[in-house]
Amino acid sequence: MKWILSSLFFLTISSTAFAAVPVVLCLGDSLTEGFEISPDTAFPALLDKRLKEKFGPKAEAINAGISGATSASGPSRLKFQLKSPKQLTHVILALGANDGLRGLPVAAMKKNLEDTIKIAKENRIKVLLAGMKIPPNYGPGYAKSFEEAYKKIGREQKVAVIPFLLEGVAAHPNLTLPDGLHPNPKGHRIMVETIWKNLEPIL
Amino acid sequence: MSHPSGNLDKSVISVVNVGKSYSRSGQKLSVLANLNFEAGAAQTIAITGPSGSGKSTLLGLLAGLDEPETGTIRMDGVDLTNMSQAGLASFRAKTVGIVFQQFHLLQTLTALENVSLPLEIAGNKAAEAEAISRLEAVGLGTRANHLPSQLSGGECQRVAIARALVVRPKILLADEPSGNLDAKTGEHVTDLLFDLVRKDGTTLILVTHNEELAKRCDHRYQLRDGQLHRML
Amino acid sequence: MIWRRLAWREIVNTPKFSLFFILNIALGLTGFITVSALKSSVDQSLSGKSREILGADIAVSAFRALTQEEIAGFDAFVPRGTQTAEEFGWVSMVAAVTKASNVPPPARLMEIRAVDPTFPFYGQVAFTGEDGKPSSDAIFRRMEQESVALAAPELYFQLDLKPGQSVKIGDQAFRLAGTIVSDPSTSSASFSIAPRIYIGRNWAKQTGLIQRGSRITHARQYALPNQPAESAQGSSQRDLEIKFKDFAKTRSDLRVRSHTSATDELGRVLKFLGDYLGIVALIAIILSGIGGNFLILAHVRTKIRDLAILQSIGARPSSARWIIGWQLIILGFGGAVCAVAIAAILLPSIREILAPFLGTAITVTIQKDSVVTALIMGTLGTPIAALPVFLHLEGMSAATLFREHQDPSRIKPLGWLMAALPSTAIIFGLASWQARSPKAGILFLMITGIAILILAGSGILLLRSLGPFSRLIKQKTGRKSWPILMALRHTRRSGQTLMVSFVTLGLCAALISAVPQIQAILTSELTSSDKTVLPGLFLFDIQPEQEAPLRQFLESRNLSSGSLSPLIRARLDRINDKITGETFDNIPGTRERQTEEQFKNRTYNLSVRGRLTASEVLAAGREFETVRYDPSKQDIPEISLEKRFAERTRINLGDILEFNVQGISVKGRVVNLRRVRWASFQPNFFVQFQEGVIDDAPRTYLGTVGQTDFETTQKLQRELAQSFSNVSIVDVKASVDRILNISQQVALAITAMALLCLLAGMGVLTAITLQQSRARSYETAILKVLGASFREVYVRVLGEAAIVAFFAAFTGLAISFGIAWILSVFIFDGVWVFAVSAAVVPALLIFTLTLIITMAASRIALGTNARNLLQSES
Repeated sequence: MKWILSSLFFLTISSTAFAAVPVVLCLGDSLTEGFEISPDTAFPALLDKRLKEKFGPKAEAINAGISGATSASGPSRLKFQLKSPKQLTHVILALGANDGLRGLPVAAMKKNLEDTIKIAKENRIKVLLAGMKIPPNYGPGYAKSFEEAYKKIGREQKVAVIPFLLEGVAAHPNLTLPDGLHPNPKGHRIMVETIWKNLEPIL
Repeated sequence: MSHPSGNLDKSVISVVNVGKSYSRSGQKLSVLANLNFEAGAAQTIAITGPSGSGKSTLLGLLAGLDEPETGTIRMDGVDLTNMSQAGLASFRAKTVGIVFQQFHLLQTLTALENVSLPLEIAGNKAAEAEAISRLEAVGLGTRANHLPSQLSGGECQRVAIARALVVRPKILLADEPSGNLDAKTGEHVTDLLFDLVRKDGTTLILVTHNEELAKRCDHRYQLRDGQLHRML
Repeated sequence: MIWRRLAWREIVNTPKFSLFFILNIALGLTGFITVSALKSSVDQSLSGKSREILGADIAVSAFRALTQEEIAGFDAFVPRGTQTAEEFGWVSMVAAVTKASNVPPPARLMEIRAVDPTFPFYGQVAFTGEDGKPSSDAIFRRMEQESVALAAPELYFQLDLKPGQSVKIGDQAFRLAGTIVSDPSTSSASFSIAPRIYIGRNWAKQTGLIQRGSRITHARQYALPNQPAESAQGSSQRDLEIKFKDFAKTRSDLRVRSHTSATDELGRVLKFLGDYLGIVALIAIILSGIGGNFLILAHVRTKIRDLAILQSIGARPSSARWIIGWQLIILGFGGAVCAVAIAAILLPSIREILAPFLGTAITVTIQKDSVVTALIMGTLGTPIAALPVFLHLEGMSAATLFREHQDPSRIKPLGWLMAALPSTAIIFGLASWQARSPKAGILFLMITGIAILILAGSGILLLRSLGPFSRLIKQKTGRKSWPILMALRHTRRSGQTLMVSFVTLGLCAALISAVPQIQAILTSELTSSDKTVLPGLFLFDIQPEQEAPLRQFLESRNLSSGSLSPLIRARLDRINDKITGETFDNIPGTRERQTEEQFKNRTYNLSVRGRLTASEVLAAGREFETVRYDPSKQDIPEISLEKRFAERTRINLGDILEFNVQGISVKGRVVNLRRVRWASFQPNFFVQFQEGVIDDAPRTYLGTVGQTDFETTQKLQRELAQSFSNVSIVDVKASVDRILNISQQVALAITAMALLCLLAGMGVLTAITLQQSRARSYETAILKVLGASFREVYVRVLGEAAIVAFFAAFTGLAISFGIAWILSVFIFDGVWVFAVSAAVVPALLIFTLTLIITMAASRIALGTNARNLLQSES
């Protein structure tokens, strides 16, 4: 694998470094991956289509979603993506849902997300943080502190924040899969609108 | 053909133009051909002949255990050749008694049970009493409850004779009755056989190699080339 | 009814033979009755256990409330008298109720089950009360009235609480009234990361957590009324499950679970056990059928002369047959009654033996239907088995009695074959009914048919080769070895008799040796070879940078870290350069919806593993050429696939797969298919790569830790939460123990059945050998009469028996490997082990047993007066 990677580096090193064309990395979990649905119906693919419509064929949205991933995977996965010859301009950071579902400490999640954001900033990549909410059954205290963590990071790190990635999708049976949790393709079409609304201003 | 019955009525056994053959490895082997023979009531008849001359075949036909290919066999006025299996069975039960060289007792039944069996088959209610008296007649009254394996050869043959004669058949077929016995026992058994046959007025067909035994019969025939030849 | 009387007279006059015959019939039928009884009690015991896991016979659940229409729909399917209950389940952060309110108390994730007072329908939740002593309180009834909760010990540890204190779930406080000691409903399939806490269902609303957006499982459970026969219940349960699933088909968010499908692993084990028991019952029936048939035919052959005699004294042929018919009916009935009696005597001790393993509550009772079947089989099956011989008699004339060299007992091979047909049909009808699977019946019919053909073929070969063999012996040894030569000559010339006994012995040997093989195969799968490697904890979400520190962390605490398996998320893009989208759409519907979806998505967790582990078995192909991918040796990396995954995706050995790992394409060639052992409990993956291929790709690790005690686990959990906050622990010990426990019970039941079958088989074999020895005694007597020494006769008889027994036993052995293989492929998911010793031992046993019995029988024959023997046989 290493040799494959290194050869790719040599081949594409010349690609335009300062183009204004947005290359958006969608770094997330199952919500990004498109859990149990075809990958071309998940929001990164829909976003990719829209970017290409607006900015031409060189614009791109990359699906870097991994089902089950927690915020702890953020820093190393972003570093891995940085090795790619693609010149990333933006990252949509959509991690944390699994931290919440597993009841992990919010403070740790906040730190993981901040670490990821710092790496992005160091590489002059703009960050859009996708906020999450946790179902009310987790208890009012936890749900509240979880939700507020995103706003806090936005304020402290001065990055754009989507208040809730699943706005208008969560808890709608016709927009989610039978598990009541993951959005179906229809849900992803709503998600891409939510993202676009927040992403467009920073493009 | 005008009045055949007039002549036959006197005969207990009437065998007319009987033929029988076997096929061995594709070849037809004629055993009996145009055999004619008659026997009257209470007659004793000996049939002799070399091995393979067809003696057993003839006995099988007379017993109604086998069917002739040609000709007719009348026993006690009844035509065996046109009879059903059920009819033949009832004929054997009432009319014919058989004594075999090898006794052929049922090994799992006692002497008494072996003797009473033909009566039971014929539906006789007093089977046991009759059977006991027959066993006593052959001198085995004390051994009634013994199994064949507990009896000597001579005793077995006496049981077989008692069994053959228990229904008081018109005809007795005896196949070398002393063939499996020593001389002395054999003589004793044949004496007994002749005594009982004479007493009951039974027609006896005796198949034997033993010329001495044959001479004790009223008539002697030799089976040769598929036919019976009267001997004087 | 003179014939019946006559038949009875015969039986009484030959008590030894009658007893021998009755015992033989009884032996086979005892096996049948005992196997049925054992099968049903094992079924009962295990289905009871699987019911306890679900806590109901059938349950419907969804992540939403069921509608009135849905409830009415499901309720319409269940019979009158069915109990129902409802339940809410969710996870929530739960905290202790403390007086100091400045600092919020620590909260931990708990699994909350809000249940009805009737919970659970099956099994019992054992717990200790507030005093820490085992309690028999009706705690679930109390929960309806009071805000009390029953919690797992982990909760007390994690929240630093004691029984009697309170926790807050949402807005409602609950007093902790007890600690769970054992909970049968701890599912073995879904590992929970949160400790469990039970509350009353009517208190669920008070928590304020059941609201819009909440993720709550709503379940409705059904407990069917008691039904008399286990079999009837089994079938109605299946029908019910089908009806429920049909109804739920249009509502994709409804989930139907029955106790039989409660857990995958258990379901599979139970299905295998059921199939195995069916097969053993089948073999028991076939063995006793073969033995019974052999005896009956041998008996009737000796009766043919009697039939002729009866005809000669005036009995009709048909009525003469009635004597034998009645005799067989009486003996067969006697045998069946004996069998029931023997089984009744045996079963309590079998129960005693099995009680420690199957639980003391098990009842091993004689099944009514098996008694009825045994009686019918004994009484009617015995004469029916003899029927063809009677038919064959039509052609036999009583006139042969006049011949000096008569052989009325001779039956042509075709006649013998004919003789076996109707009884074979009956045996297989019964067998399929008993196994409740016509598929198994047909499979067995085919297997037995092929086995008979092979045996007949090798029998002919054996006969042909004996001639040259005896010439060789003659050349080498001269006249000295006449007993052996005669044995050889006799074996060679008694072709038909020899073939019959050769095929019979061989078939018995094949079936008998197949049972312990299948047993060995299944038990090797069911029981873990080494208990120390069993996992107690699963650790997941370990990040790459945490791998080394975590290893150290575990090692410093003397915990074997077992394995850390990398998990790499990847999408299968191409198979042999074809885009998967099109090919995958054509995959026929798989049973599990989830799996189907997963396949549409084509995204899997790959792993990297250079060699197969102890929990994996190579099913096809070869191991990786090198542990690490070496571009100088392999053109592309090598891939190992799980066998059933490959079957579902229709990927074959040698196919080239192209995966997309986070935007980077990786190709590999499938070089092997592997099967995962049931009882491994180790993490296993559909797709595994050679090492060194996707080293850079983003990954997490899945770790296992060996079994530890409760304290250690809790301490570890606490420490992990501090140093590796994202790493979660799942305690799988209880589940592993439970599955292992059941697996071991199943393994034991399987072994017990194998032994029983072996015993019954040996009994049948004894009967057959004794019968053959009886047949030989006539000849023995002649040899003695001719002046042969005791030793010479002995060698000659034994020699013949040894030739037949040796070749039959080992031809049977060879066939048994085939039988075990076919069964394992068609019925047991291709699980297969070459269980040599398991098969060779019975074959040796069969060989020795045959010899010993022949020896004993010929000693007795030689001791008897020769004249008697000759007379009785003449």
